[in-house]
Amino acid sequence: MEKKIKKSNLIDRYTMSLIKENLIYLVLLIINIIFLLVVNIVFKENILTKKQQIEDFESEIKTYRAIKSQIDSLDISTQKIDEYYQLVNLFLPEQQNIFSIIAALERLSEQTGFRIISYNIVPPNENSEEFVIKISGESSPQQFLEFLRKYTFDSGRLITAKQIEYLAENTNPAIELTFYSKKQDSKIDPIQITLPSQEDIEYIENIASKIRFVFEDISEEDYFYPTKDKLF
Amino acid sequence: MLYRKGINFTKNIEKYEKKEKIFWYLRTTAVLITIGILILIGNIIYTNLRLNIQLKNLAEEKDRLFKLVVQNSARNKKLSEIAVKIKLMRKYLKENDAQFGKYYNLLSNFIEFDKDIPIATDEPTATESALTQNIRLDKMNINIEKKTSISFRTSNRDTYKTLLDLIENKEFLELFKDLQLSSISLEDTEEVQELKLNIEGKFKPE
Repeated sequence: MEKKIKKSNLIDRYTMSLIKENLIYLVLLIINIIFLLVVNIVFKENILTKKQQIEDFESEIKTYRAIKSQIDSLDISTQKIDEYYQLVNLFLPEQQNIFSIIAALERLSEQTGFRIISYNIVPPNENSEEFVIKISGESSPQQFLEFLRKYTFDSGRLITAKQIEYLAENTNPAIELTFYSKKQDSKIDPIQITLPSQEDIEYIENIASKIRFVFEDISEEDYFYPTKDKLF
Repeated sequence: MLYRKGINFTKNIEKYEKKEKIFWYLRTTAVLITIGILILIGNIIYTNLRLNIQLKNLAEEKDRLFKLVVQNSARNKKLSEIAVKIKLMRKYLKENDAQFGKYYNLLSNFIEFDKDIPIATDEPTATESALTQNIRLDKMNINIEKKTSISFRTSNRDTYKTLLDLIENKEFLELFKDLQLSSISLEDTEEVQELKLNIEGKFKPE
């Protein structure tokens, strides 16, 4: 037993001697391992973050370039932009206003000779951008057809008709009309900007050319006069 | 190494050599890893510098483009609103409108006939030729959520066939996505001659 312990001590002494001799390498190895761990945690993360930032920048730059190229390719004068802007805001105003709707119907009635004798308003939800009104009117068949031909844009508001009822015998046709509004985005992110396509420009130009004579008679003030929340 | 003081190397030489070898590997590994780490540090510094330069250039490019876009922000805001509203207008007209324009002429022709307005044409279409006969559009109910129903009537025995021809005419049928005859009634006496046709269907979308 004593011999065994002696032998074991001898080995330990030799090992200790080797450890002392190679202490610097052992310390170096430990430092290396710690350094590798630190590199893995800190620098890898740092490099990955920068690479991600670069990808984000590249993506944003790509978007900006696309917007810039789209803006450059849009050959519209400021005057035209103002005209289209005013036009789309007349068709789809920021808020629904019953008086502007009635004014639009009266205008349509004057233009076509279709005399509206009754209307029934379906109260919209508070945040609804659609306003449904059922009308019936007196007219000659031609006047009714003229109304059908013109209702979409000629009143200065966008109007769609989901239902049209016509009876030859009883000339009181009934139509269900829908008026629309659209709230403007208060803040438009330059990256999220949507620009009109050439097709959109042709579309609005086509409408503008058809109803320009009507549009000239409608001032924005007719639609956007101050309103009260309470009657009294 | 073999003659260290107080250690009997001859007895345990194999074990000592083995330990020496282990420590040799340890030294070599430490040196190699250190060299590797030095290379890694160089690489990290180089990559970092490269990435920093790239980031700086991209940030400058982004700022430049951002200023170009933002300097026209009022104009772009208007353009954006125009685009959004045009898209909405097209959507509403496509989804919520009966799109009467396509069949306006059909109805128009019948109504004009009722008013005895002559139709000047060299080659009358099926609908127009029907107008020269005594055919009337009795009722028309267009509903985009349901089927459109149209009723025709003629009070002249000689025009029964003309009315039937109109309904089967290719030009007329092409107006519809689907069409069916929902009712037909005939009263043919000495006093009353009347053929009524009621059709139901859906017009083809624009």
